[in-house]
Amino acid sequence: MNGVPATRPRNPFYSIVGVLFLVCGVLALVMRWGDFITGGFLLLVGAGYLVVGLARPGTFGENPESTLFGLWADERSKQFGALGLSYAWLTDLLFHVRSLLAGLPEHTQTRDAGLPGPVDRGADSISPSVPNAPIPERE
Amino acid sequence: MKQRNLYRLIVGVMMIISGIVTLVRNTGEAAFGIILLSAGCAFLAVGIVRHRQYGDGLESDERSRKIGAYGLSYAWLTGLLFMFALFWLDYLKILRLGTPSALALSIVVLALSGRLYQVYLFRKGDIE
Repeated sequence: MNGVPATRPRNPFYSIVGVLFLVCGVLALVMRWGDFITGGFLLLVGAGYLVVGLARPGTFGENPESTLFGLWADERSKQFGALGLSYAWLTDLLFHVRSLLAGLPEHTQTRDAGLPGPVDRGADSISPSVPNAPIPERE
Repeated sequence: MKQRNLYRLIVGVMMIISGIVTLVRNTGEAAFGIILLSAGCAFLAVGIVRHRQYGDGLESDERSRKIGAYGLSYAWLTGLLFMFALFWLDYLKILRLGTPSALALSIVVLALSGRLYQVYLFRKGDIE
Protein backbone atom coordinates (compact mmCIF):
# COMPACT_ATOMS: atom_id res chain seq x y z
CA MET A 1 0.00 0.00 0.00
CA ASN A 2 2.70 2.48 -0.99
CA GLY A 3 1.44 6.03 -0.44
CA VAL A 4 -2.18 4.92 -0.28
CA PRO A 5 -3.80 5.73 3.08
CA ALA A 6 -5.42 2.72 4.68
CA THR A 7 -9.19 3.03 4.85
CA ARG A 8 -10.53 2.78 8.38
CA PRO A 9 -13.27 0.24 8.84
CA ARG A 10 -16.67 1.87 9.14
CA ASN A 11 -17.76 1.89 12.76
CA PRO A 12 -21.26 0.46 12.88
CA PHE A 13 -22.16 1.97 16.31
CA TYR A 14 -23.99 5.06 15.01
CA SER A 15 -25.74 3.20 12.20
CA ILE A 16 -27.01 0.44 14.52
CA VAL A 17 -28.29 2.94 17.09
CA GLY A 18 -29.87 4.99 14.28
CA VAL A 19 -31.71 1.99 12.86
CA LEU A 20 -32.90 1.01 16.36
CA PHE A 21 -34.25 4.52 16.99
CA LEU A 22 -35.92 4.58 13.57
CA VAL A 23 -37.61 1.22 14.19
CA CYS A 24 -38.80 2.40 17.62
CA GLY A 25 -40.08 5.66 16.09
CA VAL A 26 -42.00 3.89 13.32
CA LEU A 27 -43.43 1.40 15.84
CA ALA A 28 -44.45 4.23 18.19
CA LEU A 29 -46.22 6.02 15.35
CA VAL A 30 -47.89 2.93 13.89
CA MET A 31 -48.91 1.32 17.19
CA ARG A 32 -49.85 4.72 18.66
CA TRP A 33 -47.57 4.47 21.72
CA GLY A 34 -47.65 7.88 23.32
CA ASP A 35 -48.41 10.68 20.87
CA PHE A 36 -46.93 11.81 17.60
CA ILE A 37 -44.29 13.98 19.35
CA THR A 38 -42.67 10.92 20.94
CA GLY A 39 -42.65 9.01 17.65
CA GLY A 40 -41.44 12.01 15.69
CA PHE A 41 -38.68 12.62 18.21
CA LEU A 42 -37.49 9.01 17.97
CA LEU A 43 -37.52 9.22 14.17
CA LEU A 44 -35.48 12.44 14.19
CA VAL A 45 -32.88 11.02 16.60
CA GLY A 46 -32.62 7.85 14.52
CA ALA A 47 -32.17 9.83 11.31
CA GLY A 48 -29.46 11.95 13.00
CA TYR A 49 -27.53 8.89 14.20
CA LEU A 50 -27.85 7.21 10.81
CA VAL A 51 -26.56 10.27 8.94
CA VAL A 52 -23.56 10.61 11.27
CA GLY A 53 -22.87 6.87 11.07
CA LEU A 54 -22.94 6.85 7.28
CA ALA A 55 -21.10 10.12 6.78
CA ARG A 56 -18.10 9.62 9.07
CA PRO A 57 -16.45 6.22 9.19
CA GLY A 58 -14.53 5.22 12.31
CA THR A 59 -15.45 8.18 14.49
CA PHE A 60 -16.13 6.31 17.68
CA GLY A 61 -13.02 5.05 19.46
CA GLU A 62 -10.85 4.29 16.45
CA ASN A 63 -9.67 7.79 15.63
CA PRO A 64 -7.51 9.08 18.47
CA GLU A 65 -7.65 12.61 17.07
CA SER A 66 -11.40 12.85 17.26
CA THR A 67 -12.06 13.20 20.97
CA LEU A 68 -14.41 16.16 21.45
CA PHE A 69 -17.82 14.50 21.01
CA GLY A 70 -16.31 12.63 18.06
CA LEU A 71 -17.09 15.45 15.67
CA TRP A 72 -13.77 17.10 14.87
CA ALA A 73 -10.79 15.34 13.41
CA ASP A 74 -7.77 17.67 13.51
CA GLU A 75 -6.28 20.02 16.09
CA ARG A 76 -7.33 23.25 14.36
CA SER A 77 -10.96 22.30 13.80
CA LYS A 78 -11.19 20.92 17.35
CA GLN A 79 -10.03 24.28 18.71
CA PHE A 80 -12.54 26.18 16.55
CA GLY A 81 -15.27 23.81 17.70
CA ALA A 82 -14.38 24.28 21.36
CA LEU A 83 -14.34 28.08 20.98
CA GLY A 84 -17.69 28.02 19.18
CA LEU A 85 -19.25 25.93 21.94
CA SER A 86 -17.77 28.27 24.59
CA TYR A 87 -19.54 31.21 22.96
CA ALA A 88 -22.69 29.09 22.73
CA TRP A 89 -22.38 28.39 26.49
CA LEU A 90 -22.08 32.12 27.23
CA THR A 91 -25.05 32.95 24.97
CA ASP A 92 -27.08 30.24 26.69
CA LEU A 93 -26.21 31.53 30.16
CA LEU A 94 -27.03 35.16 29.28
CA PHE A 95 -30.29 34.13 27.60
CA HIS A 96 -31.37 32.20 30.71
CA VAL A 97 -30.44 35.07 33.05
CA ARG A 98 -32.31 37.54 30.83
CA SER A 99 -35.40 35.30 30.71
CA LEU A 100 -35.33 34.84 34.47
CA LEU A 101 -34.97 38.58 35.11
CA ALA A 102 -37.73 39.38 32.61
CA GLY A 103 -40.09 37.06 34.46
CA LEU A 104 -39.09 38.16 37.96
CA PRO A 105 -41.46 41.11 38.49
CA GLU A 106 -44.49 38.97 37.69
CA HIS A 107 -43.48 36.45 40.34
CA THR A 108 -42.04 38.56 43.12
CA GLN A 109 -43.76 41.95 43.22
CA THR A 110 -46.42 42.38 45.86
CA ARG A 111 -49.49 44.54 46.23
CA ASP A 112 -48.02 46.03 49.40
CA ALA A 113 -45.42 47.80 47.31
CA GLY A 114 -48.13 49.26 45.10
CA LEU A 115 -47.19 47.08 42.17
CA PRO A 116 -49.19 44.40 40.39
CA GLY A 117 -48.63 40.94 41.88
CA PRO A 118 -48.79 37.41 40.46
CA VAL A 119 -52.13 36.44 39.03
CA ASP A 120 -53.65 33.21 40.33
CA ARG A 121 -55.49 31.57 37.46
CA GLY A 122 -56.01 28.24 39.17
CA ALA A 123 -54.03 25.00 38.88
CA ASP A 124 -55.63 23.79 35.67
CA SER A 125 -55.59 27.07 33.83
CA ILE A 126 -53.58 27.08 30.62
CA SER A 127 -54.28 30.67 29.66
CA PRO A 128 -51.18 32.56 28.51
CA SER A 129 -49.35 34.78 30.96
CA VAL A 130 -50.50 38.38 30.73
CA PRO A 131 -48.05 40.89 32.20
CA ASN A 132 -49.60 43.52 34.47
CA ALA A 133 -53.00 41.81 34.33
CA PRO A 134 -55.54 43.35 36.74
CA ILE A 135 -56.03 41.41 39.94
CA PRO A 136 -59.15 41.36 42.03
CA GLU A 137 -59.32 43.51 45.12
CA ARG A 138 -58.76 41.83 48.49
CA GLU A 139 -61.77 41.46 50.73
CA MET B 1 -2.26 46.86 39.79
CA LYS B 2 -3.49 45.93 36.32
CA GLN B 3 -6.10 48.27 34.88
CA ARG B 4 -8.45 45.31 34.34
CA ASN B 5 -8.37 44.39 38.03
CA LEU B 6 -8.82 48.02 39.04
CA TYR B 7 -11.96 48.21 36.88
CA ARG B 8 -13.22 45.00 38.52
CA LEU B 9 -12.80 46.55 41.97
CA ILE B 10 -14.50 49.81 40.94
CA VAL B 11 -17.43 48.01 39.28
CA GLY B 12 -17.73 45.69 42.29
CA VAL B 13 -17.88 48.56 44.78
CA MET B 14 -20.39 50.45 42.62
CA MET B 15 -22.64 47.40 42.30
CA ILE B 16 -22.48 46.72 46.04
CA ILE B 17 -23.45 50.33 46.78
CA SER B 18 -26.30 50.15 44.23
CA GLY B 19 -27.47 46.87 45.75
CA ILE B 20 -27.49 48.29 49.26
CA VAL B 21 -29.36 51.40 48.09
CA THR B 22 -31.94 49.23 46.27
CA LEU B 23 -32.44 47.08 49.37
CA VAL B 24 -32.60 50.02 51.79
CA ARG B 25 -35.06 52.01 49.65
CA ASN B 26 -37.28 48.90 49.59
CA THR B 27 -39.08 49.63 46.32
CA GLY B 28 -40.79 46.27 46.39
CA GLU B 29 -38.30 44.19 44.43
CA ALA B 30 -35.83 42.53 46.79
CA ALA B 31 -34.38 40.22 44.14
CA PHE B 32 -32.75 43.04 42.15
CA GLY B 33 -30.93 44.33 45.24
CA ILE B 34 -29.66 40.87 46.09
CA ILE B 35 -28.56 40.27 42.48
CA LEU B 36 -26.64 43.57 42.44
CA LEU B 37 -25.07 42.78 45.82
CA SER B 38 -24.00 39.28 44.75
CA ALA B 39 -22.62 40.48 41.41
CA GLY B 40 -20.71 43.27 43.19
CA CYS B 41 -19.19 40.82 45.67
CA ALA B 42 -18.22 38.53 42.78
CA PHE B 43 -16.52 41.38 40.86
CA LEU B 44 -14.72 42.50 44.01
CA ALA B 45 -13.57 38.98 44.90
CA VAL B 46 -12.33 38.26 41.35
CA GLY B 47 -10.44 41.57 41.24
CA ILE B 48 -8.72 40.94 44.58
CA VAL B 49 -7.95 37.25 43.94
CA ARG B 50 -6.60 37.88 40.41
CA HIS B 51 -4.40 40.72 41.68
CA ARG B 52 -3.01 38.62 44.54
CA GLN B 53 -2.57 35.55 42.34
CA TYR B 54 -1.01 37.05 39.21
CA GLY B 55 -0.05 40.62 40.11
CA ASP B 56 1.25 42.26 36.93
CA GLY B 57 2.24 38.95 35.30
CA LEU B 58 0.54 36.93 32.54
CA GLU B 59 -2.91 35.59 33.44
CA SER B 60 -3.43 33.22 30.53
CA ASP B 61 -1.49 31.48 27.78
CA GLU B 62 -2.33 29.24 24.83
CA ARG B 63 -2.73 26.16 27.04
CA SER B 64 -4.98 27.76 29.64
CA ARG B 65 -7.17 29.33 26.94
CA LYS B 66 -7.53 25.93 25.28
CA ILE B 67 -8.43 24.24 28.56
CA GLY B 68 -10.92 27.02 29.35
CA ALA B 69 -12.61 26.66 25.96
CA TYR B 70 -12.83 22.88 26.29
CA GLY B 71 -14.27 23.19 29.82
CA LEU B 72 -17.01 25.50 28.56
CA SER B 73 -17.72 23.18 25.63
CA TYR B 74 -18.32 20.28 27.98
CA ALA B 75 -20.44 22.58 30.18
CA TRP B 76 -22.53 23.52 27.13
CA LEU B 77 -23.14 19.84 26.40
CA THR B 78 -24.01 19.19 30.07
CA GLY B 79 -26.46 22.12 30.05
CA LEU B 80 -28.03 20.93 26.80
CA LEU B 81 -28.54 17.40 28.16
CA PHE B 82 -29.89 18.83 31.44
CA MET B 83 -32.47 20.99 29.64
CA PHE B 84 -33.33 18.07 27.39
CA ALA B 85 -33.96 15.93 30.51
CA LEU B 86 -36.03 18.74 32.08
CA PHE B 87 -38.19 18.97 28.95
CA TRP B 88 -38.90 15.24 28.85
CA LEU B 89 -39.51 15.01 32.62
CA ASP B 90 -42.06 17.80 32.24
CA TYR B 91 -43.58 16.38 29.07
CA LEU B 92 -44.00 12.91 30.61
CA LYS B 93 -45.45 14.55 33.76
CA ILE B 94 -42.75 13.05 36.00
CA LEU B 95 -41.35 16.34 37.31
CA ARG B 96 -43.17 19.61 36.71
CA LEU B 97 -41.16 22.69 37.60
CA GLY B 98 -42.35 26.25 37.12
CA THR B 99 -40.65 28.50 34.56
CA PRO B 100 -38.54 30.46 37.12
CA SER B 101 -37.39 27.26 38.86
CA ALA B 102 -36.43 25.59 35.57
CA LEU B 103 -34.57 28.71 34.41
CA ALA B 104 -32.78 29.14 37.74
CA LEU B 105 -31.81 25.46 37.83
CA SER B 106 -30.47 25.66 34.27
CA ILE B 107 -28.40 28.74 35.15
CA VAL B 108 -26.92 26.98 38.18
CA VAL B 109 -26.10 23.85 36.14
CA LEU B 110 -24.54 25.88 33.31
CA ALA B 111 -22.43 28.10 35.56
CA LEU B 112 -21.36 25.41 38.03
CA SER B 113 -20.54 22.78 35.41
CA GLY B 114 -18.49 25.33 33.43
CA ARG B 115 -16.32 26.12 36.43
CA LEU B 116 -16.09 22.48 37.59
CA TYR B 117 -14.97 21.22 34.16
CA GLN B 118 -12.35 23.96 33.97
CA VAL B 119 -11.01 23.21 37.46
CA TYR B 120 -10.91 19.49 36.64
CA LEU B 121 -9.11 20.02 33.33
CA PHE B 122 -6.62 22.47 34.89
CA ARG B 123 -5.84 19.92 37.61
CA LYS B 124 -5.48 17.20 35.01
CA GLY B 125 -3.11 19.46 33.06
CA ASP B 126 -4.35 18.67 29.56
CA ILE B 127 -7.58 18.02 27.73
CA GLU B 128 -6.69 14.57 26.38
